[in-house]
Amino acid sequence: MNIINYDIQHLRALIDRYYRGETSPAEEAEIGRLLRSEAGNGKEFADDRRLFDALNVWETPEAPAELGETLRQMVAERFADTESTAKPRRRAHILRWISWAGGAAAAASIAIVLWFSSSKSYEDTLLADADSPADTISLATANKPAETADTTDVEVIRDRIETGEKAVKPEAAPRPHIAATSRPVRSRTRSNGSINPSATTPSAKEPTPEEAAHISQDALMTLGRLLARGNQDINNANEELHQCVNETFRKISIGVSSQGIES
Amino acid sequence: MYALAARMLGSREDARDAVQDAFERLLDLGERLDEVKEPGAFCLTMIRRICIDRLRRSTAAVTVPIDTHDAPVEPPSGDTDDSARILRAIDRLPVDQAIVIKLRAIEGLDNRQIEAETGFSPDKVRQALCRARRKLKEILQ
Repeated sequence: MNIINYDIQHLRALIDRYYRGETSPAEEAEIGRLLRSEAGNGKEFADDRRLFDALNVWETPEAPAELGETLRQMVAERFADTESTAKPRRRAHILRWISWAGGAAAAASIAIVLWFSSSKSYEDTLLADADSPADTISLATANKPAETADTTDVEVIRDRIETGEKAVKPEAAPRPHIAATSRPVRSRTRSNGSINPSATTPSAKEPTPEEAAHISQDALMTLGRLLARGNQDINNANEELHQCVNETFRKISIGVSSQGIES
Repeated sequence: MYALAARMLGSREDARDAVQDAFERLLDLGERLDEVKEPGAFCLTMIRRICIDRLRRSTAAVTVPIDTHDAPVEPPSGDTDDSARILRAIDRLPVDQAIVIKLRAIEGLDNRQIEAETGFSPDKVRQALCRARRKLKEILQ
């Protein structure tokens, strides 16, 4: 009897907390157990028992058969979509990669060419652009930086060319390259006066600047060919592309390092 | 997934739509599905949240059966009349209370889990349970 009274009091306390929303699922399971016991059998808990019965027993509806078929179709359609879009996506990815690699290689080649051009001496540029001694003089006057222009120097040289005399300016020796009409061989002497061994005895491993430019151009041509046949063999193109780009950058780096030694 | 959706939404038709919706989302995940460690729990969480969204979108949270196939899901308790009345009463509760009482009654989620699923505060979950249970008891009296 005492046990039942204890259970009833315990049940009341739990139900009070239940309607305040403070019970845990475990405590609510305890309420359900007590409501089905002798303690909860009284009229006092009749409504609570009905509510618990209604709330705690739920049907487990089975999924309709057509739902399974609908889901299978949905999955099949999705995978079909994936198959049809996978190649274009991969192709677009590869083409984007090729575009990027080609752009990078082209930019590197342009940079090398510009670097070659800028590395030429002022005199080399002047002589290369001149077709005649007169042109050379006029170019000397026009192109030489203002801070280094020497009008007297130019006049003396003009006199030498027009008269054919070997006039020598008393103050300064004539600049020997001015009279030349063909491009002279570039100096192989370093700024400190020592001889550049790679320039005097070119090594087979270190190409000349012109060869380096050709190497870069060849690499670009290879990339172009790869782009042209990229649609035919996409799976192989990706791997070849990596190799090609690596080779391109290797060759470009060889060209740059060679030019660095040369300069 | 279907059983949970049917219980939560109270409609077989809505449950079917919810399951299809869940499959769409699963397929959208693609390769990220490989990262799911517990697929069963993941799917149940997904369908549960879809049901909560659907209940919230429904203004009155009332499901009216259209035909016999779309008959409401009824708990087969001993007292069918009480169960039907309670089920209808739940669908007429404010939507937040309906969601909370269903998550507790159907899935047995505790208050913290309900907070996590709904984004409600602890007080809101407790108040929703409190008010919903008192209203349901009044219906049976």
